[in-house]
Amino acid sequence: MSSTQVGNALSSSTTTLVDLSNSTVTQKKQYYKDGETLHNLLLELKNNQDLELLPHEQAHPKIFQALKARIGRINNETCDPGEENSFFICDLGEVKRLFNNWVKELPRIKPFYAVKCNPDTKVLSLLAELGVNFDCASKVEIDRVLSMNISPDRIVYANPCKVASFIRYAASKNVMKSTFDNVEELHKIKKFHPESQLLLRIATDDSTAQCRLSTKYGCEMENVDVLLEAIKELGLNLAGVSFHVGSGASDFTSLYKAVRDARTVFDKAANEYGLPPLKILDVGGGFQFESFKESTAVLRLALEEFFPVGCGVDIIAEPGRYFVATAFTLASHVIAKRKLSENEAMIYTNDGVYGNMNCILFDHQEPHPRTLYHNLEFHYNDFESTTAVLDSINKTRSEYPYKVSIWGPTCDGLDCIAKEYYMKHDVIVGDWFYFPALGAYTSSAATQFNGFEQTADIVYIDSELD
Amino acid sequence: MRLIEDPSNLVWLVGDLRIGARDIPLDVPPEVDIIDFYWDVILCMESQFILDYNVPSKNMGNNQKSVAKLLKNKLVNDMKTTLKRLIYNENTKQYKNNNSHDGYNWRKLGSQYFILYLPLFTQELIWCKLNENYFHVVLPSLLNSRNVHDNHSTYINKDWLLALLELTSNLNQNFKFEYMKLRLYILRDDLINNGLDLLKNLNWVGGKLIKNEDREVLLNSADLATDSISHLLGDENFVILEFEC
Repeated sequence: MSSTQVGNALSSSTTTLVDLSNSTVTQKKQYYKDGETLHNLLLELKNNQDLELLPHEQAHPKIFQALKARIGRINNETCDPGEENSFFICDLGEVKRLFNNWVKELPRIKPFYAVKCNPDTKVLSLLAELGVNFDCASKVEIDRVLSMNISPDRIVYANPCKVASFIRYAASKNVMKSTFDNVEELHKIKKFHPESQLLLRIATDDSTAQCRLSTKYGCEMENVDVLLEAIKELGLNLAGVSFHVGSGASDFTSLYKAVRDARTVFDKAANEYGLPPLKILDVGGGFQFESFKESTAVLRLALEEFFPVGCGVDIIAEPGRYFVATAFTLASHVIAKRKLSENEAMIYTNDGVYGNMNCILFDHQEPHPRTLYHNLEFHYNDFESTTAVLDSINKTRSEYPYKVSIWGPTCDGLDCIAKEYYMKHDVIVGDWFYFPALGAYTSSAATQFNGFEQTADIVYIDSELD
Repeated sequence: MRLIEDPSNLVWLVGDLRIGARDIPLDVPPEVDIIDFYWDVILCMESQFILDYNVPSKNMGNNQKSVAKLLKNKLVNDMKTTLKRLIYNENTKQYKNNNSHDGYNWRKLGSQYFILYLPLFTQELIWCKLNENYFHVVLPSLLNSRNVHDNHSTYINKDWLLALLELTSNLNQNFKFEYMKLRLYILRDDLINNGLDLLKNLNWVGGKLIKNEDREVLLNSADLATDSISHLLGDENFVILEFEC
């Protein structure tokens, strides 16, 4: 569904649209659509095949070229220690395309990139150049962003577990925007950062998200009054409302409902507590490349209904993985193999959960290993070289005869990359795997992993320039 | 030595600098030797890192006693060395092991030892030590904890974690270190059964997974002290998480 179609659907709906001239007056409105209308609208979006199309393809030829060049330089017999380490290809051109796509789909929303997702300096610099702002969750992240001569007013401090020392630190660095979801936090803020521009984080229905946040973070709607009361009592500066529907959501109804709930808080603050009109709506993150069209269509629909153009509210978001996941490709080397039977083996690579794939544990990701180099040949372009699941028609055992489990280099039971995978090739020690779209929540770009050496090199390319 | 009672209840007292924890006086009966008690606390903390499989099941009781004795001797020696160094400003090596890596400094003697009591989280005592800017907290087994099975466990998770973060942050009283770091040692079985919720949200609360020490490499290196007890200690029973505070 195009924007126009969404607009048409909206205008023909029975919903009471926000009356701009009266948006802050003491008048209760029924904003939301009835359940059936909403359900039908979202179903229509879900069934729209246009929304299933990916915004663009990754620059595969350029990525392959970079992988090939790097591996080609490694001679197994003579290479120095470390040369066979796993490495990333980072395509900065992909970040640019993703940004352009963001502007196209969500022109009203200013992105604050979640630094924790991947704090790679080159990516941060590029995003800063493109005009993206930053969501920081720790002192280190704030330091890193400020060290790039980025103004503190381009930072939102959004750690849901804020220690008093962090709040003091944010105050000392003039980082003003900050989220909160409980009264205790407000007391800390009152003491250490009373001028802070606060965003009240409300809980959302994140039951379909892979990475659920509202089970832990965010204030339930029935408790919002307690926080508004405390804000008023403490004389703090409530600037807006934020939410986060969690990462990897499959049902975007939660986005619509969260925007609707945010509107309720905006009105409640002004009408029931006499607080100054709120100015910022933070729609959080959880955006993914694969579902971006669908999620943004729902978000636009909700915003047009509850926060239409000209309503005087700045809308911001905290995307993380959207801007980096598809920009990074990881290559890792097969370092050991344990044959269990003729066609079944345990494969050990030189990267894993304790290296650049901690996203398996922390982010519910399931990296897709593909054969990159086997039998003196590169297989990058065979996107079907492996499969996690066999079926009786397209992916049969005869096509994928080799069943493997893939493990990281430690002997730790947690260090499992894939419990069961089927491969076309009988990989051996010295072969290479690659893992596409592995830029989010890996430790790839951590400055220092707690005293340990950084575990992978990053080769930068720019497919928009090269 | 500090006994800290339920920081979660006292995370925040407005206008009071004692944020996140309360020290309570030790009500030790006169017949109890306080020095012995202190030694017991130190031993209890350090013995968390004894590897079970190093204590053969045959004659378990006797073996445990002998391991405890070895550990005690080692701690006494380490303490002696440390005190000598402090008093005479001797340039002696407190420890040979792992000084090249901050990563494993649980092997170093703590400068302060703590007992934490967080009854809303667990009825067990929690053993901790402070070592420069690292606050090491060994979480007890949660498998039998009533709270991990109730519906509010997720909220409780946030509460106890925040309490520990606040406590760690406040241990840096002289602002000597730029960052204080909390190291949580969670038993592997617990993590699989109860702690995955925390693990899956680790990115969101600013935590990191720390690799365990490479025991094989360590045993073959000159870094490890030559006393036999050092070989019986290890961190592989734990999954280690680190938080900047």
